[in-house]
Amino acid sequence: MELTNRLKPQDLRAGRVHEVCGTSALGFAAMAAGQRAGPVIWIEKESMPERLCPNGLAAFFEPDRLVVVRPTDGKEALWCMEESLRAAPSMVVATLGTAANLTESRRLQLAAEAGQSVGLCLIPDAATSNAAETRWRSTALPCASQKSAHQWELLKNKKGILGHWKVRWNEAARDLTVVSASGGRAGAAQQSLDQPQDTIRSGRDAQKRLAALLDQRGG
Amino acid sequence: MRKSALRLCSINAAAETQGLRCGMALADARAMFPSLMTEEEQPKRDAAFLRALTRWGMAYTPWVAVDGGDGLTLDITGCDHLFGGEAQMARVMAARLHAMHLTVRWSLADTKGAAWALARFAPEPVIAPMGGAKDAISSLPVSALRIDEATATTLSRLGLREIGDVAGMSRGGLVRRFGPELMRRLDQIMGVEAEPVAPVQLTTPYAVRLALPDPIGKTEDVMAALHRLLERLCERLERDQRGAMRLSLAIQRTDHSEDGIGIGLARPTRDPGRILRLFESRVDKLDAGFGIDAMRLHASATEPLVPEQSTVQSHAKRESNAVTDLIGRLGNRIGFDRVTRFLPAESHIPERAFTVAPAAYSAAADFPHSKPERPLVLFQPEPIVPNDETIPPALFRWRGTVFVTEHSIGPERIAPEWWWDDPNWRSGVRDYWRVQTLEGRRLWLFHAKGGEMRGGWFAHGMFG
Repeated sequence: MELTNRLKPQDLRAGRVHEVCGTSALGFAAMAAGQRAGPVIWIEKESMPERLCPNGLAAFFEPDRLVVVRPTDGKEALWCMEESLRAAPSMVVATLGTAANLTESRRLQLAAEAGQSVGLCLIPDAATSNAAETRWRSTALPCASQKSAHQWELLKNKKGILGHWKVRWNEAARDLTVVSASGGRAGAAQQSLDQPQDTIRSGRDAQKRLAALLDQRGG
Repeated sequence: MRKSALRLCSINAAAETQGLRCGMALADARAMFPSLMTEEEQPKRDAAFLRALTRWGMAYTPWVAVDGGDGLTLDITGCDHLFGGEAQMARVMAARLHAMHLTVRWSLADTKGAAWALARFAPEPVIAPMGGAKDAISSLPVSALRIDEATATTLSRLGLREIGDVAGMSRGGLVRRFGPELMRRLDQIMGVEAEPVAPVQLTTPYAVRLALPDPIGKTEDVMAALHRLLERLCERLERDQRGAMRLSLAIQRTDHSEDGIGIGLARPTRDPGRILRLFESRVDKLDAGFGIDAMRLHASATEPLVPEQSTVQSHAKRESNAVTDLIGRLGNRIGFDRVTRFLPAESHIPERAFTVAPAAYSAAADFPHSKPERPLVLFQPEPIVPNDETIPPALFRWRGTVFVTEHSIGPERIAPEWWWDDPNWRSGVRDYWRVQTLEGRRLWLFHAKGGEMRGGWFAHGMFG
């Protein structure tokens, strides 16, 4: 337990760049920002249809800490991220569209080290290999209660072991509650995916699920 | 180009003796003198020269004003004794202007209007004695009254060719015929109506320059020179308790060509180090050519910057300088309108409950804690295809993927603001549902109905 505690997700190491993917990557980023004091620089590409909603973010951190940067292209976004990381100890969240390649991520890493800030890239999927310190997958867990729970899997960790956690966000205290944790050796996270869960990951699975539902209804 | 022809606007003495006049069409003038040398009028440079001459005039009296496009008005009340009386003073000034190769017409009178008229219409410089303005101007043509051309022409046609003629007429008749403007001008020239000289406000620009003994070209050298300039500039800003908002650096190369770069700052600043860092990324854009001879740094926009006493409270609230610098640096590269922050707004419409403001020109503001929950991101409402009639849909297709509703919370009814005709809200009242899907996404769906436009189910936002 102590091991897992030490690996608690709120400890995104400062001076490093991390990555997160999954359906609730945004929530992960918001929670990570909520766990830290200081400015939050959010970089999102101009072309994205989604716009941050400060009233929603307010549940996680004070929106007055937030500066939103909207560069027009990927290169500019990377430049903005590097500058932001280097400028001051802050939290820099970036939606780059694709994961940074090895050179880019290495540069970002150096910038984060110089500024002692935390970088977090929201990436579409966890397929790439680059210099990111950790890579997470965050999924919203369906649960009956109003409070939503998230499943966080640590897919890559350069300085430690992998694991997965079930967490809840405590809105009143603006803090994270770890509901259940399992730390483990490398690869443990992969196993956790195979655990029977009431979660379906792809559209094709959804179709199957739909068929099952209709059957149930018919019966 | 005046009155649809190129015309002479200013001629020298030699041309005048040959019979050329201002206002003559260039074609006519050329016909008279094929060898006529002309140059295009440059009103901007003329104006700049006049402004410069204003500064020269400040040596004689503090009340110097630019008068139209071609003259200066100096109020020398109380200054003439310093130069040995009016006549002596005028003589000295005329001689000095002559030494500068300027052809000057001048006159001295009790009123601004009289001096204006005498300087332009009297054949010789006139020093009208105290109270003698009226006599001095009475024989001048009516256009010396500073009235428009049409009025002057009409007056001449009526036989009123000189100011003395007009002054002798009954006031009532003149006002009825020509309006109050003519009378006002007449009163001003006679000294009945006061017309003070409004001196130009001389503001010394916040600019410093550096001439280099040897041309430089390396980036480090330019930065070092810039640092020196900045130190001097910031010292001056410090003295006046101001901070720079915009700075421009101009360089002059050895071949006398010029180049320049500019930066903007997010907040008034007078810290040389911080400004220098903003220049770092820009300096490379300068082309040093064969070497830079001279540099000039100009703070084109400044704002008051009073030293603040930092208290615990203010320190906690205020963003650190580092972030302000960052905003400035990002803004300079990608545009200040792309570096934004959110400000709260009074509205229950989700997308209007906040405004987006450039971070450089706005201060952070507290957000009220919103209940009920709002999504992390909003997008333009995207229609979803529900599979059945249930509310909310148990199964729907959004962005090409099928989602199965696991559970939902709602409805939250939001009505459009009647005073705001938002095209997005023409579909009527919305019932919002927070829908947790089995796929893991938590979406903000709404069902709109009862509006001008077709309602239905839409996705509007996404929770984390």
